[in-house]
Amino acid sequence: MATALVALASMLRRTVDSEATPMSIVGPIALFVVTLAAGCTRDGAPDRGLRLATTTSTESSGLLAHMLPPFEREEGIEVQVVAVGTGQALELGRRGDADVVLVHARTLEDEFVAQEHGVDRRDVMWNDFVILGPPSDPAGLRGLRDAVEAFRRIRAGGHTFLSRGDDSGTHVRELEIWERAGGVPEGHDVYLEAGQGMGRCLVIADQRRAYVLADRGTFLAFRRTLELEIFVEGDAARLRNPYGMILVNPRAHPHVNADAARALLDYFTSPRGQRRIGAFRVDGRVLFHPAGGR
Amino acid sequence: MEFLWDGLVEALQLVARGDPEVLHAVYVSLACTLTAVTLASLVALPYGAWLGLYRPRYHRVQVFLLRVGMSVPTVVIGLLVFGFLSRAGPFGGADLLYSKSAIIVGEILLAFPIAGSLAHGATAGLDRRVVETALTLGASRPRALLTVLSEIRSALVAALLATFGRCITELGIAMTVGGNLLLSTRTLPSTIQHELGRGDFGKAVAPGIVLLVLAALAAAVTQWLSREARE
Amino acid sequence: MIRVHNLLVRFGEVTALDLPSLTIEDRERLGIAGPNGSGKSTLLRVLAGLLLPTSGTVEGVPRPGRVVLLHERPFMLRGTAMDNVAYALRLRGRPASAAADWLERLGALRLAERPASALSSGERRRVALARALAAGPEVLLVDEPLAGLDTEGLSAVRHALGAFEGTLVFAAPDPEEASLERVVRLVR
Repeated sequence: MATALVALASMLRRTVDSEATPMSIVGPIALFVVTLAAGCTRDGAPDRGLRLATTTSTESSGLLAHMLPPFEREEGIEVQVVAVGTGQALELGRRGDADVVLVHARTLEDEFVAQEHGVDRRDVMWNDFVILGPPSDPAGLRGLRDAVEAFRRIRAGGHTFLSRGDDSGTHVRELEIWERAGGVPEGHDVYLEAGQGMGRCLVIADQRRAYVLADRGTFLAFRRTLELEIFVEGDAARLRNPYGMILVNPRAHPHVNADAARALLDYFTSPRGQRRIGAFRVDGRVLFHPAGGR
Repeated sequence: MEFLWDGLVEALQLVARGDPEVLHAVYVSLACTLTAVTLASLVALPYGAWLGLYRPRYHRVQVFLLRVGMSVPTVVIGLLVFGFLSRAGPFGGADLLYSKSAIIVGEILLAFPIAGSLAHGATAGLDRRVVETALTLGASRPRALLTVLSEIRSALVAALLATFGRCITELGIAMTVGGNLLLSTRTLPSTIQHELGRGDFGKAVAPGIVLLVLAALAAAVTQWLSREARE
Repeated sequence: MIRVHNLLVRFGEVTALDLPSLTIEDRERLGIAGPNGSGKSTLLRVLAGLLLPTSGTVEGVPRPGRVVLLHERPFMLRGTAMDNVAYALRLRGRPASAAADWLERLGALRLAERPASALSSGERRRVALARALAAGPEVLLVDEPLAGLDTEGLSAVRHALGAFEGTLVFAAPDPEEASLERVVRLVR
C-alpha cells in the first residue's frame, strides 16, 4: 500500500512539473491501481493462515516471537497473533474471529469449554506472578512467602496498591487473593484501578510508589526503567499462573482453520515444544515453565 | 442502527440514575478544568491585554509564542509535564504524577496561551484612547488596565469560555499524566476512551452526552453575551 | 503655579512644539491660541502627563487625576452617558449618584440613559465635560471645547467652564472667551 502511494506521488509530481499529457496522467494512476490490487490480494484472505488470540502480557513477554517462527517455517502456516485482554481474547474465540486461544484464566477457560465454544483445553505452561513495591517497602513485605499475608498487610496499613482493573487474567488472580485477604481495600485514593495494560500499570505504580501484582515477564521487560522491587514470589498456591491453549470449536464455527489450530496445539504440547518453552529466557531467567501438555 | 440506539438508551439511563463512575468523571473534569482555567486566566488575560495595549518591546515575539502555544497538541504538553513531574525529572520529589494535580498543571499550560492570545486580540483592536481617557480622569496605571479589561469584557468572557471548552474536552493530558485511574483521575473524555477500549459503547456514550451538554451551555452563554454587547 | 521652560517636543524630524517659556498661575484662566499645527494639543498633552517632551522642563503640574484633559474628540467608555460620568466619580471614591447632577449642569441629563457611543459629537463633548468636571480636577485642560456645538450646547459648556474654579487652560484657534484672563499665542 505504501509503495503504491509513493510511486503515485512521485509520478504525479513529475507529471505536474513537465507538461501534462493524457498518457502521463493515466499511466501513474494505472500503476497505482495495479500495485494496490496486488497488495490487497496478498494481505487479504490467508490461504493457510492461523489466528491466535492471546493476552497482551503473553505477547509482550516475547515468548511467541521465540516459539512461532520454527512452527511457521516447518508447517508453512502464517500465524497472526491478536493480543488483547483475557476477556476479549475469549470473546474473539466465542465469535469465531480466532482459530485458537492462549490465555491464563482457568475459571474462564473452563467456562469457555463448558459452553462448547472451545474444545481440547491443554495445560501448556505456567509462569508466575510477583508482588512488586517501592524500595522503601512501607508495608514491610520483604521476606514474605505468602501472597495472602502480603495483601493483608497492604490493606491493613492503607498502603497504595495499583490494580489492573481490566478483568485481565492478572486482575482476576489479584481479586482472588484479595478475597482471601479480607477484601479489596476501600477508597480509590489508595486502591487505584488503572484499567490498562501491565506495562502501563507498572509505570503508574512506579510513579505513585504503589504495590502491584504483575507477571514476572512484563516486569523483567520493564525492569530497567523502574524502581519497583520484587517483594513476594514463589507462592505456589497463589502466584502460579497456568496457561491454557484451547481450540475454537469447529462445529460452532466451521470456517475456522481447524487443521492449523490442531497443528499449533500439537506443537506446543509436544516434548520438543515443551523443551523450547523452557529454553526461553529473559535476563537469564526462565519465564515460562512447561506444564506437561495435558 | 440498533447498536447505536441501544448505546444511546443505556447512556441516558446511566446519566439519569447518576451512575457513580460518570458522576465522578464529571467531578474530575470540572475540578481540573475550572482550577486550571482560573489560575491560567488570572495571569494570561491581563498579560495578553497588556501586550495588545502597551505594545512593549518584543511584543511581536511574545504574541508569536502565544500563538505557537495554542497549537501544541495535548499529548506533547502531556509529554512535557510527564518529563518534569516524573520521579526522574526535576520536580519528581513532589510525587505529583498520575494525580489530578498533574492534570491541572498540564491544563494550565494548555489554557494559558489560548487565554493570552484571545485577550491580546481583544485589546489589539481597541482604541488606544481608552487608556488615555482613564489616565487623565485619574486612574492609576493598574486601574487603567482594569478599565481596559472592563471595556473588552464580553471578548474576555468569550475567551474564557473558549479556553474552558478546550480544556474540558482534552484527552492527551488526562491520559498521559493523569493515568486514567478509576474514580481518581479519570475525566469525561478519558472515560470515553477507556470504555470504548473495553467495548462498552453505552458506558462510553454517557460521558459524551455530558460533554455535549456542557458544550451547549458554553455556546448558549457566549451567544447571550454577544447579544448583550450589540445592544 | 505651573512653569514651562524651553519645552521642545519633536516627533522624528517634525517639531510639534517649541515653547521657550510659559507660566500659569493657580486658578488662572488661560487661553492658548494658534493655527492648526502650532502645537496647542501637544502642549495640553504634555501638561496632562500623557506625553514626554523631547527636552525642556515642566514644573508644578499636579499629578494625573488632579489634571484632567478634555480631548478635542473625546473618547467614550462603554455604557450610557451616565456610566461614563459615574466612572470618573468612582475613580474619586465619590458616590455615583452625583453623576446626574453633573449631567444636568451641562444640560445633558436627557442623554443619561443613552449609550455613549451613539451620541453626536456635540452631545459627546458635553458628556465628556461633565465627566471631566466630575473628576474634580485642580487643572482643567480643554482642547477646542466649543467646536461643533449648537447654541444650546455653547451656552451649557460656557456656563460650566465659567463655573469651574480651578486652573483652566483653553486651547482653540482663536479663543474669544469673556472668561479668559490671558491668551498666549503659539506660532508654527
